[in-house]
Amino acid sequence: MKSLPPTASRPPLKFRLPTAENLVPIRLDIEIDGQRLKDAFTWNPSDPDSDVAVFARRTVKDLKLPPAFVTQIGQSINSQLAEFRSYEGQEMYTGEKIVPIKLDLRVNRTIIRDQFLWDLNNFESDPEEFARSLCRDMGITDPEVGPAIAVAIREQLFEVAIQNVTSARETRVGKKGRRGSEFVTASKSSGAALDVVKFFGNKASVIRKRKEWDVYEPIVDLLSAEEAEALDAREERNARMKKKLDDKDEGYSSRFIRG
Amino acid sequence: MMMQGAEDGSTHPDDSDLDLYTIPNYSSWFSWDEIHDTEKLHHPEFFNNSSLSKNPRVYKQYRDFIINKYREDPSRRLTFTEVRKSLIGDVSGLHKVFQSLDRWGLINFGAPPPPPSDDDDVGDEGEKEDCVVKFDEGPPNGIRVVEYPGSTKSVGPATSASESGNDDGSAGTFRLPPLTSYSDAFDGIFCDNCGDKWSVNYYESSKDYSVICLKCFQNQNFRKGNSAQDYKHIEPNTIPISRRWTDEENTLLLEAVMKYGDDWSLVAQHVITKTKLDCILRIIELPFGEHILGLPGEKADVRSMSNIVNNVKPAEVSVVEVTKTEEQNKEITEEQDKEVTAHAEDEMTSSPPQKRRRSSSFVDDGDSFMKQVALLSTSMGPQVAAAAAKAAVTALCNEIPSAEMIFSLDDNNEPKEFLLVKDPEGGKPEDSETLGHGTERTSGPSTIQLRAAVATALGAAAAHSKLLADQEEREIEQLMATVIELQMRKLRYKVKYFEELESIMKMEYEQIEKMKQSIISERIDVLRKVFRAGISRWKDHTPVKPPAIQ
Repeated sequence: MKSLPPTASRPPLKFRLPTAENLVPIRLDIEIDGQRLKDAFTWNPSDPDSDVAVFARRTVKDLKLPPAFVTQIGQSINSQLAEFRSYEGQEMYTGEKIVPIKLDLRVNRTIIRDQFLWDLNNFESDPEEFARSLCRDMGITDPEVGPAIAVAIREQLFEVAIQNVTSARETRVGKKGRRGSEFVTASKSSGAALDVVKFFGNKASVIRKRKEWDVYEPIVDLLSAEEAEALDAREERNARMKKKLDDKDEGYSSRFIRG
Repeated sequence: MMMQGAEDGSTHPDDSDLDLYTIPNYSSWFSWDEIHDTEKLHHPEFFNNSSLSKNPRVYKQYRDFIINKYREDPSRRLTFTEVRKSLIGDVSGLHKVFQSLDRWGLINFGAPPPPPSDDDDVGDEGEKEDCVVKFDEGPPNGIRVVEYPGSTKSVGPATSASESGNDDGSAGTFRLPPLTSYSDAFDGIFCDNCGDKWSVNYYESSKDYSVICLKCFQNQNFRKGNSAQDYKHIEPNTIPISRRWTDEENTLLLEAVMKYGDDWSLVAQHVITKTKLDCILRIIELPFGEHILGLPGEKADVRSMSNIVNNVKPAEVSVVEVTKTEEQNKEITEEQDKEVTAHAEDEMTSSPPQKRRRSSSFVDDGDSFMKQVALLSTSMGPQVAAAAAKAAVTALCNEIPSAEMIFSLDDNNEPKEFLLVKDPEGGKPEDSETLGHGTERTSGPSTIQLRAAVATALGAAAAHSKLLADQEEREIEQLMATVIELQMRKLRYKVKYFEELESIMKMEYEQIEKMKQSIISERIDVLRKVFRAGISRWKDHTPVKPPAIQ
């Protein structure tokens, strides 16, 4: 096993999410006239673009939102899809890479914290299935938790995939030799990635040390209705404060530039 | 069965080193010491060297750990989430390993089935059982897109995707993959008993191909003349290819047959929604299917025959003994002859259907002369009949000048009607009717008319028989050609064998010559020896007999 480094033989891949289905995570957070829509879901980038408008219209109709939301939703989805597509067609560095995925979510009244490892070269992985089995195993009954977990996983995978593209590009510009490129990518992009050789080398055991079990174990908390409301309120407040701060910041910086 | 132990808390009170664990019969391949081929098949990623983090050693560690973990307490259900915290590695890969172990019953076999709802205080509303199922429906409650208002079908959670796909693209449904909506789009399968639509599970009778649903089968509501044995259960995944043929499919099929001939796999590909077998069955069912297939079929026959001949050749060439090969040769030619005759017979029987049909109908229908005329004229193309009629009329006109009057009178309406009515419609019934009308209406100078009709009929019949004769002749020619060809081949074989024989004879001749030479040289040798030995000279005059004979 050791004698054949599989990374060397693998051809470079075109950019995509490292999962079985190439679905793009989309997150909506739109506020118009005091009404706020927060949502997260996945989108198939090969669907026709016209579906976005249809989706937006239907969403607004179903949720009985004011019609102003239609364009906002459409724009938001389109811009996120455009970002995804801007990477499409580029080469993605697919070395040996296993990254830790960390979850820290609150969905309605369920809080879930978790950490696990994800192989970026496993193109059969299925975040949705993983989320489903997590919910089943943890006895989570809120149907919105599963999809939220899956979207969270996809968002992190998306980010790592973008990193892979950029690092691949850098190495191509920087050095041409294969050895050099491997070296550079390994040192550059694997800030968080796992040292594969250390964990899967000939001597290492893949059984985790007992004291680390807690770190990689999901923690699920169920809030009472009051707690959830309080948290909602606090988040709202924080968001507003942040927005204000941002505005101020912007104003400040613009002034600074002008001055 | 082991639930009892679980409630007691102590699962294996008499724990010795050797525990007895139950695993299902179908997993008897499992062994701690090695990795079975089944596992390699299920998890190729661990064995094809594709990744550093996935190798057989790692797989074995994963597997052993998970099974051991379960066997710490076989009475409770081991969950994936519980396992993954203790194992380093890609969770998706781990999940796959866990799933297959679970499926093979190597873990969780004795454990209670997964609980439909948790008995903790997690469930908030009263819909505890539903909640678990709800994950399958996809997006959260808040933004779930409801079904189209137009769809009247009750939508189950599992089929909702296919249904919605079906609703918004009824024109394009043909392109959808068969599993999702094909049967929905094309009426699906209806139970012949209760009329309900069943697209998932049904039974089909081998007697009259009636289809009944699962419910009817279970209630033993069979159709008349069928019993439980006649019904065959049709698996869900074979259903989408329904036996009903739509117009589009028919045209596609015909197109494909025209294009690819009898290459059925290509045809099936072209039709998309049907299997190879379905296509063949359908083309046979179609009224003109035989006709379409007639030509390629004949070609195939010829081809196969030449194949046989080709196959025979090398086998024979290798044989050396002359007499034997000749016998074989005879046998083979006999076989070939037989085949030729069989082939000829085949062709006789499978000759274009229209020929048989016409001749038989001609014999059958002998009651009325007019009818026969009509029939005869229908049996060929309208143009042929018209031409025959014209010819007959002109012949009559030449014979009897007065007839010209009659025909020229009628010329204005009748013959024109003749030609005009027939041609655009191409309909043969009109043709015969006009003929009949013409003769009946003008019953005055009926003799001439009758003669004209008779002449027409005879002319038409003659033309037709000429046609048939030509066809027959061509067939005969073709057959003769094949026969001659085969004879030629036979002769060629014979010539070849004679040549071989000749060469063998030559060789033999040479050998004999050599022997002759050697005998002569021996004789000279002997003579020399005799000379040296100084035997009396009187023998010089007479040829010396070889010592062996002495």
